[in-house]
Amino acid sequence: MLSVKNLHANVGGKEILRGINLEVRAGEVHAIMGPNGSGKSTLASVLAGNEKFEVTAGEVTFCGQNLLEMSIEERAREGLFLGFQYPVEIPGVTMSNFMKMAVNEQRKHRGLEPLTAGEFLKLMREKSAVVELSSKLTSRAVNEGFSGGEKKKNEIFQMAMLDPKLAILDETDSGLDIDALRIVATGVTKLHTPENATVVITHYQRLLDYIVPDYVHVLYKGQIIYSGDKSLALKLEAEGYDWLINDYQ
Amino acid sequence: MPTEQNLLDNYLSNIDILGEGMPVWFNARRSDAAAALNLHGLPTAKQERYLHSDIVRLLEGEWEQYFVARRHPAPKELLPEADANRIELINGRAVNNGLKISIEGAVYGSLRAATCSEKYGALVEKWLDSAADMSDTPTALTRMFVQDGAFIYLPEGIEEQSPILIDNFYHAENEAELCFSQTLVVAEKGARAEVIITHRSAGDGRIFAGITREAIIGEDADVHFTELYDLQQNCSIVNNNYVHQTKASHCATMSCKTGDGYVRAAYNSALTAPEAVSDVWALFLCGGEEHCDLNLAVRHLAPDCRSYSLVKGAAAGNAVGSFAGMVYVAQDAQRTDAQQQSRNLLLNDTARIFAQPQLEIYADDVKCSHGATVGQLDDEAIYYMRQRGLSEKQARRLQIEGFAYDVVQHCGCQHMCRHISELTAAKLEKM
Repeated sequence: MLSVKNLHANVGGKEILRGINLEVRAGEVHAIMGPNGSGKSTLASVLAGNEKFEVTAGEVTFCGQNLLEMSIEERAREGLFLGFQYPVEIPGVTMSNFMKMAVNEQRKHRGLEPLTAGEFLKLMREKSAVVELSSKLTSRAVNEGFSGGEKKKNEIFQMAMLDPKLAILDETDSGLDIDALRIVATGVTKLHTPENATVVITHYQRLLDYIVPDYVHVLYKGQIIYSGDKSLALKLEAEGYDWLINDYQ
Repeated sequence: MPTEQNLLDNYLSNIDILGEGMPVWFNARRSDAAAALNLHGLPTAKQERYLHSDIVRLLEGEWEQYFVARRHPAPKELLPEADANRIELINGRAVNNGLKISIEGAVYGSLRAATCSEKYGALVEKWLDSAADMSDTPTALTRMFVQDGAFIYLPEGIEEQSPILIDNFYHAENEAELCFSQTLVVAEKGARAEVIITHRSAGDGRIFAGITREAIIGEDADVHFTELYDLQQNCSIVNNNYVHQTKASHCATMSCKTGDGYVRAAYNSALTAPEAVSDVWALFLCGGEEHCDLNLAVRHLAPDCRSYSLVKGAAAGNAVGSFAGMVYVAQDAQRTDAQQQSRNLLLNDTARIFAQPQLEIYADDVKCSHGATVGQLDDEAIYYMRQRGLSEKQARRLQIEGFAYDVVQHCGCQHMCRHISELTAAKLEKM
């Protein structure tokens, strides 16, 4: 589904990604871990097409297409979803209006008719239940005045609405209390199918108790320096990154 | 170019036809207004309140003035689905030269008819020109030439259920026309109503419309105005509003400029007795070479009054938007609560927005705040929306719509609200 080869990327002339290689197949869950500043969020942003970052080398294919040639919205419409670490507040734009446009743009891209008002409301109700998001929030402005937990639930709600092929969740667990973490993580698990894939970026093994990864990768200084199975996350939680970094150096 | 002298000459040579059929007092005040124009002259950029509106330049070129009613093609009915009490004006003249009474008892129709009527003449004489400031010479200019306009009288205690719609239509073909009109709204004690004022235009000729509106809001009365400027590019409007509020009255005004024509609008409120409340929300959207100048002035003249204003502007292209707001608090207007906010959005490097918030406070126990910001669209929000599949254009538009929503949501009539939202969306498409 996603194939990243020797990906290099800069921001403001500074190289952050220095040769990432990653293969994600349908049905898989990948976890990306690593110390602060290792490039995890940059990788997510580059895959989403954030124009702040400049790709200097490498190839990325997504479902057989050259991802790097696609605009941000084309990637999204093709089924790439990014769960933001810091979801943006958009005053005056209601969640329902925003989601209606997003869902219908995606449908248009797939040659489908736009949803009727009734169908859309039904979909909203169904999907907001996945993360126990209050229907009051969906009538409010996007993320405006949402608590930290509500913002993250809202990300997963949007993921549920858009039903992506590949979801990249950038520190979706940060700033969540225990209950919210459970709800968000269980929501992600419910959305997982053999046809889609998930990449979770996290600092904590705790999230992976719910979202069980097939692979765990450690990112350091812009490269994946080690990959393993879910037991790697436990080992990292217990021992930190030093043993890996020392090996790498 | 019609200089003050040209305008005064035109007034003097048409004085008979202008005043025909009108009461003596009405025409006497007309000549007072002419004297005021003669004394003060048209405003120049040296006058702070006209700093960003060059009225003299706006009046450049040859203009026609008509002092008798003429035929114009009837415009398409506005908000046909709304159950509204309608006053239709074409180039400042009421289409039906009469007065009507709503089911609830509101009197509405032509100002000329009210002025000349036995029943309401004294009321008009008492209140017309009572709130307007003739040292503001565009106000004086309008008064000098005015022959008609709209009249709304809300007798004590009536609660009008349907909105009263003042539909101003401006039309000129193959020539440039000056037109003037004056509106008087009198709300007696405890009266309530929703008043919608629209300005729209058609035809290939230029229009200059000079408008004065006075609203006298009695004790405990509550009047909500929604004003929409949906003018073609060749139509310019200079609109001076004066609201006079008494004890515990409430006046809310929502004003929205979505059209392409030049708009200079002033909203003046005087809170003259305790516990009066004034709310103003305004939005202007300017693209291309457009110009919009909004001027707000709230005068707190009595204690325990509250005023709130929020003005939002977005400019693109080479457009110029300006906002000047003044909150004046008199010495004995203690415990005043006044808030004034101006939020602006520049959509490119060539558009300009001027914001000038002002406070003048002579009382010592007050809560006043003001703020003005000029910013750009939030790139992070655009990225966020694009990541969900919206195009850049859609994301920009949605963000501007969101920006406008704070103001648009205060429209009191749902049909009008939808109409404004549609016009806003169409405007954003062009910006």
